[in-house]
Amino acid sequence: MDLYPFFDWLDTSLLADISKAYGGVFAVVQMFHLLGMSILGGMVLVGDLRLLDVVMKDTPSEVVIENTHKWFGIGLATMVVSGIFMSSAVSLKLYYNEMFWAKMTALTVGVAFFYFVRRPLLSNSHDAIKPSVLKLMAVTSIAIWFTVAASGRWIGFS
Amino acid sequence: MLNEWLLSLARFFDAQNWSTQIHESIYLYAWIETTHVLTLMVFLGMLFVIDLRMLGLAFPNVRASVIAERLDKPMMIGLTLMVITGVLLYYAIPVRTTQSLWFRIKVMLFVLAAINAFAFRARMQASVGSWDTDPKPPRHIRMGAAASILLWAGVVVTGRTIAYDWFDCHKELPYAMYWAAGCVDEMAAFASE
Amino acid sequence: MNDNVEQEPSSNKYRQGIAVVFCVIVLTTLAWFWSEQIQEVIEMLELAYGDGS
Repeated sequence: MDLYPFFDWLDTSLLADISKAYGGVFAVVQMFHLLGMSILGGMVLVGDLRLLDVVMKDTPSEVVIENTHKWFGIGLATMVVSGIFMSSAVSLKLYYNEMFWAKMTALTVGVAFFYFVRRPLLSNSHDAIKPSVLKLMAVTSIAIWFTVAASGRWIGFS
Repeated sequence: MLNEWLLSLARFFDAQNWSTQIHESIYLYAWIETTHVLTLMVFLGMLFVIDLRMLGLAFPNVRASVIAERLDKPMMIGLTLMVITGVLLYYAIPVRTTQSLWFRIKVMLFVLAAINAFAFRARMQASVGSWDTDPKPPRHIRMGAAASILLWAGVVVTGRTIAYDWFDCHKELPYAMYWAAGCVDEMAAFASE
Repeated sequence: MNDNVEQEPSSNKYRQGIAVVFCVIVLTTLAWFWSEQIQEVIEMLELAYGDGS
């Protein structure tokens, strides 16, 4: 599926005009991207570190995980919206950037993992799940989101 | 006077070999900066969980004191990493950073956020018995949490805008801006015109 | 709330199995991706700083 037409359209859209013209607006939107990242990262880390028995050991892991879902979603939505805005400023450059596609792949995997694998499994009682599986999921989750964040930042250097 | 002193300190660091090495290295500066940004997920991540609980917006069925106490250590680990990487970033490019208006505002907001955090912690410890299990804490606690989020958002955005050169010393700026950013040489040139 | 699990142990086992397979594939792919990045970094550093310069 060739996405070039989308990136080409984005490059000359109104969104692109605004994001390219006003550095201040871009910076504020990027702030929301970073705050969204902090919220998403925080919710992911609290959940995963609980599954790894590192934090909040006196609170049932089901309770901790369940509580992270809402703000994970809000963080993710914030990042996607702000990300599209920021991408519009340099959309054709991004189309040809390897790191950008690495990030998008990792992001897709991360979102799919969260909503289609992890969440359904963890909605059951955690006692019924092998501890090694819980820990494997936690490690995988941290690895995916670290990769999304690191490759995201590295776009700027490539 | 403070501006002169800050600039002398920056020039002192600038002349050091390590400073140049980090600044001119192919990857080192980028890695330090990447660590600084990514560690936001640890530091601000934990902080937001705590602040959102204190606002009654997250983890309503977990004791507020448990959230604050259990997440304190990972938060402090994150903060330590951010301060270390932040200091290194300053050290690598000390003169421009010192004379960056945004960096100065960021430091001031950071100090305010730290003061707010200490005051907040004291208030929380004093009163926690009465509202610990309430989904929504009392108003003064919520205000402290809201202030915390706003101050840290400010730290984040000013950290980002350091990279922009809108108010750099080499630009033509009003005298007051030169003073605010500590553009000592430019202020002197202004005065002699 | 816990009754679901006792009544459907096979579906839970299935989900666990899917999760394990998914995690292994993802971690393997990530290990490959990061080793490629590290390899590139090493090559760049050798180019820039290597060869007795």
